[in-house]
Amino acid sequence: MAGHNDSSVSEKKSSQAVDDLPTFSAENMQNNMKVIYYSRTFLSIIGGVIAGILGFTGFAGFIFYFLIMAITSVGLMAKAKFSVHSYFDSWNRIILDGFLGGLLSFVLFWTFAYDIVHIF
Amino acid sequence: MGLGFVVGVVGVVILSHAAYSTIQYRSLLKIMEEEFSGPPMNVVVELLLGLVLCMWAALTVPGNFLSIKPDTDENRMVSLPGNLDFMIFNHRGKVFSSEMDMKLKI
Amino acid sequence: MAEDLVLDTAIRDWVLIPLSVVMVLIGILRYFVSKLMRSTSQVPDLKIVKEGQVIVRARNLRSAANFIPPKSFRARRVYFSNEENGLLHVPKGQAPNPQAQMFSDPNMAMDMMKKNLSMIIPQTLTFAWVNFFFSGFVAAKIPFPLTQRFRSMLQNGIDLSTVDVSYVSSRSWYFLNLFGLRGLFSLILGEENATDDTQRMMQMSGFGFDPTKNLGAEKDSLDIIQHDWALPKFEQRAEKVLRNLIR
Repeated sequence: MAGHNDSSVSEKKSSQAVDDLPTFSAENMQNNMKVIYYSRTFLSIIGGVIAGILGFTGFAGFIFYFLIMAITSVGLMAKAKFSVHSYFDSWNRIILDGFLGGLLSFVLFWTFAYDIVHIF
Repeated sequence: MGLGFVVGVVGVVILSHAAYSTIQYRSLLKIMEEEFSGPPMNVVVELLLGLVLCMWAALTVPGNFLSIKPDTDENRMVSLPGNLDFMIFNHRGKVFSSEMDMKLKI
Repeated sequence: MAEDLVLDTAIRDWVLIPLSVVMVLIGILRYFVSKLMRSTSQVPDLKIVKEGQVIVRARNLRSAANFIPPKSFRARRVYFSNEENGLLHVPKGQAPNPQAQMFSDPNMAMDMMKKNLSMIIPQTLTFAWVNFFFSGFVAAKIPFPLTQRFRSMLQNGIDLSTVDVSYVSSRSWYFLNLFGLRGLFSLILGEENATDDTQRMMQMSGFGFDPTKNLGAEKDSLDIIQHDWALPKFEQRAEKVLRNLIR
């Protein structure tokens, strides 16, 4: 009985190990990551322009950036039809990756639009 | 792709128009010597519209997600010709290789 | 310093906007020039291609290790990573020295020089141009407060210690553009493009990448892999899946 139990336990373990086998195509994953990168970059530029026109200064602008990025995450999830695991290997890829990458573009375009509209 | 791109361009144009009207509004305020408290209503509406259009463009233009699962239709793992590991050069066909070259030349 | 500076709108129309537009256009121009100058008939080195293929094969073995029996896996691993003549094993001292390789191959040196020229010349020219036409303007204002430390970075070219730090001189606006426009370039030029300055600087300091390092890393990761043959348990797994389907 005990032996049987043991074998079932080990079975479970190994079946889990089998489930963990990374069987996904890396090229498609890279393609997906690139799509996300483009979306985020474009939206950080657009977000910067909007924040500049609205005249945000200081902390409000950064909050606006994070808001835009959060909306982008939701939009990307909607694009993946909320079945993230058939397109990415983890949730972090779609939610967190590239969150800070667009910050420099955002700040530049924020400054640009703000200067054009407000300081002159 | 085409439609999304056009939508993105329209969004950017709307944004630049919003920027322009804000500049006008500010110069008006300067003449009337009032303080700037916030952009006028129509600019905010334009910005929101531009944001929505650009968001839509940003989500559609870069292309679709491809499934990474090996068991979907468009993603067969058994694409043998594309797999270098299954290419065999050391087979009896190499005897005919010169003929192959001739065929290719013709 | 609480009161705002009143800037002439002519500065906006004739400094801020032209400077930014010119930066974008020069970035695009540089991309195409470096694309043109890149030598088209580049025959890849046989040895490098071979090593790349070996790495791909080792990676495939690593990712599919659990689908083959332990004996086969061990045999393959020895084939790749034994200490005498394994494919991934690079004997010490035999690693190709990139420096020496460069001197033996004038083409490579030429390439490197072209790359550097296409990077440095436009940069110097633009900087000289900006200095000549636009020096000494307060051109922009950063919409968030910064500490005094940033003064030398943001107000390069104007010597006014009473102006608020968030005001940016035109020369510093040039630098901000130089670093901040990468996102835009990657959008309009597609892909990781040639304007990626910081990355290239990294490469220059490392002086080319070392393929033997790749081989060594792959060998290490192949050595530490835990082999666990998956197939004997596959019937149970299939049974489980089918049961789940029935249920």
